[in-house]
Amino acid sequence: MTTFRSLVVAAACSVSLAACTTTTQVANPCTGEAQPTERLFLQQIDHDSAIIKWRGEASAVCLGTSADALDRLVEATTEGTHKAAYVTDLAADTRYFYAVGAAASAPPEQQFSTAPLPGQPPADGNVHIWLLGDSGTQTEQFMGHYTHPGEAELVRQGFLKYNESQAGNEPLDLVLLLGDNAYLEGTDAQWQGAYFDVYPNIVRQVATWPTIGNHEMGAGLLNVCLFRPMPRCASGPIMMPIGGVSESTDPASYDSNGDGPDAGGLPYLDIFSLPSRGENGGVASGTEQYYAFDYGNVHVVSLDSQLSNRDDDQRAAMRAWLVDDLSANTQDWTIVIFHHPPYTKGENHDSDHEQAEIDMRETFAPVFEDYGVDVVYSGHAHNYERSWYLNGHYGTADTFDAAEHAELNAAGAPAIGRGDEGYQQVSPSSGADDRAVYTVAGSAGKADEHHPCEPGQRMGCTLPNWLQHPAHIPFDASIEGAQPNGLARRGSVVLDATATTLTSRFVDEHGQVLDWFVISK
Amino acid sequence: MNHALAGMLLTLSAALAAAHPGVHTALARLDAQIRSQPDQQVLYIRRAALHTQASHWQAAQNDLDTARTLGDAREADLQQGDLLLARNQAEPAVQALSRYLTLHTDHPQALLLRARAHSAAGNLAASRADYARHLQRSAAPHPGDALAYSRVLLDMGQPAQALQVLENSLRRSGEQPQLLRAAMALAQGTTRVQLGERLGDALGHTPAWALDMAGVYVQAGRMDDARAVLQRADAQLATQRQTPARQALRQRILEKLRG
Repeated sequence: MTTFRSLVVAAACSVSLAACTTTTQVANPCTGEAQPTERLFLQQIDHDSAIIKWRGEASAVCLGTSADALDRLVEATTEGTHKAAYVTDLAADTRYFYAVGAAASAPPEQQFSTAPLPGQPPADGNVHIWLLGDSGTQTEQFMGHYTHPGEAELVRQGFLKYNESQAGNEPLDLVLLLGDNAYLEGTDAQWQGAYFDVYPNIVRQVATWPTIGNHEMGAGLLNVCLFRPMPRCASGPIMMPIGGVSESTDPASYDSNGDGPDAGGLPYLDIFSLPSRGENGGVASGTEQYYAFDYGNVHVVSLDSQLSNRDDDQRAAMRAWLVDDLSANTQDWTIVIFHHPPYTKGENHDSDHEQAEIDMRETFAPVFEDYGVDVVYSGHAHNYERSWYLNGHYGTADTFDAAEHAELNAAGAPAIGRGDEGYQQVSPSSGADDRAVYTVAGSAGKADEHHPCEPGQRMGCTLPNWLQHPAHIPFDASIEGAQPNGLARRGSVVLDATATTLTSRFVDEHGQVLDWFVISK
Repeated sequence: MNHALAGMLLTLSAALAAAHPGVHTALARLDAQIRSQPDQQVLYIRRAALHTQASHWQAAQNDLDTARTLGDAREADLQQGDLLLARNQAEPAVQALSRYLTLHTDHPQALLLRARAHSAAGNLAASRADYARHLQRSAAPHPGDALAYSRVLLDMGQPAQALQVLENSLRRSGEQPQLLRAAMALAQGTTRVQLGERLGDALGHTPAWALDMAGVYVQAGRMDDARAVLQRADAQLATQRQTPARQALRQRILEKLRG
């Protein structure tokens, strides 16, 4: 069947403006059937453009503003192992429906909204953001057994329950990944099983904006006897390959199984199309390993704490770029994401001792505070920790002084960030936008538990000061999983940015909000 | 494996997956591996890399010496080069890396390290050649490496070639501000002004850019343009949210305007 659409075509004329238009019938290219995909997701949704990516035979997408009347066909290019359709000339803050192949109608889950115009909040008044740290546990295996099956799904369900009951089912505008989103080695198959298969409808409706975690960077061999002495260890180490131990600075060195670099390089860089040239409003970084973009009145920066951060030349270049990017930023709110947290006392991660965390704190935290960053999110530690409203704390935990480094309430104690103690973007104490809240949200796929160290055990047990970083707020002991300065609970973060407020909430797997804070303009 | 052991190992899985050991724990791990597989050359090379990171020079050298006896000796030479470079022994580092490159031609990391070693040894022409090969063979060269290459050319007294390298990198990676700024520092006259204006486009004509650009205009004898760009920057800053960086910048701009 041939269908037609009407086009208004300007024609040369010299009599009157009214006579200058004619209506022409042209064939609608979207008349066929949708074609199956192995993987379908969205990238770089902007106010006037978007990228639709998939794996499969189809070579084009059809889209339109009505689900049953798609009328625009966009041919795809092949990028690595994916197809990518670069869709341009879209209207801002508008819902589009799409189908892979030249289909006339779109499946209900294949729709997205373009971003509002730069500098403006969306029509609904709020940029609704979901942040997932260390969510990639669906594919985590040990000795051939899945160790956290369904846990990421529980967190997803918790978010959906929260969104329905407390957020009016507001559609998401952004999904930010905090690293370690495909355990254990970040292979392409693990990305499929731990991300695209766990959030299939979400990744078809919202752009994913990731950052590189250690579990994106492949594998090495580990002696399990170092974790817990066992009788069999007496006859020798028990070796197993494990992801997350790479210390390389080179994405080409990616090694999925411990036998040397894979030919295809880092799967993360093959899967995602990231704006290295400032395509979406940030300053060009020149590399997909770190980037920035605008979404309406929000500016987001994704830094590379895993690779670039480990090399002196590359870290210096990333810092200089960050200064330029933040200097150019005039959006209402600024969000920074990267994997290794500047402040944590996680079960296996201590920001006083791990070099990646130390470098992020010493090199980058001063830039965040000098250049107006509002909130910083990381993962790595599988728990939730949230700082006071900080300025100037770049040393180890024992150098933290709340009176010097935290915004204080009327009573002279650190302000909690909500109610009468909500934070102001421009600090009343300094008169400048010079503070940030640092959050560790690495429990979207599992939560650490208390594992007392046994005699001889050197790794994999709970540090004595677990979740006791003084830069982080305390939690009520009545909350399940509460430790003095953190929560050992599965969950994710929901961040909402209006024209005047930025609200961050930690939502557990039951949809309950266990912590929140508000920054106001 | 018996069921009891399998069950015990399963209980460890969460802790294992949580673990991302640093240098010292990784060293302990490799110690154990080497005890069980003492003939594996690659294990000694990996441990040497960790010892190098931890500045355990002699331990690293011992491992590399052992590694040489367990296979093709050249396999140890990438790490040997890294170790020697870390110890400021540039010439021997070049020799080691050259041996490695006879085994693994055009290995990107070896080329990058040898470029740095040549540079440290004062052999800038050879450094230049290796940087060129490295960048040519990298699918997505990091801006930090391109900047290092241009610095070598500048040290060779070849600013025009350095500028060309930066322009080539800009064509590959887009209008990246660090590359543009480095190019600006090398260019003269009209070209410098043009690069400065490209930098302004890349940065959105920020007040921080204006301060740099005013200096470029002054050098080009365009005093009115310099003053105008500073006045625009001051007006911009007056309307922007106050951050410590912007407060400091405004002070500098006001000083320039007063001067």
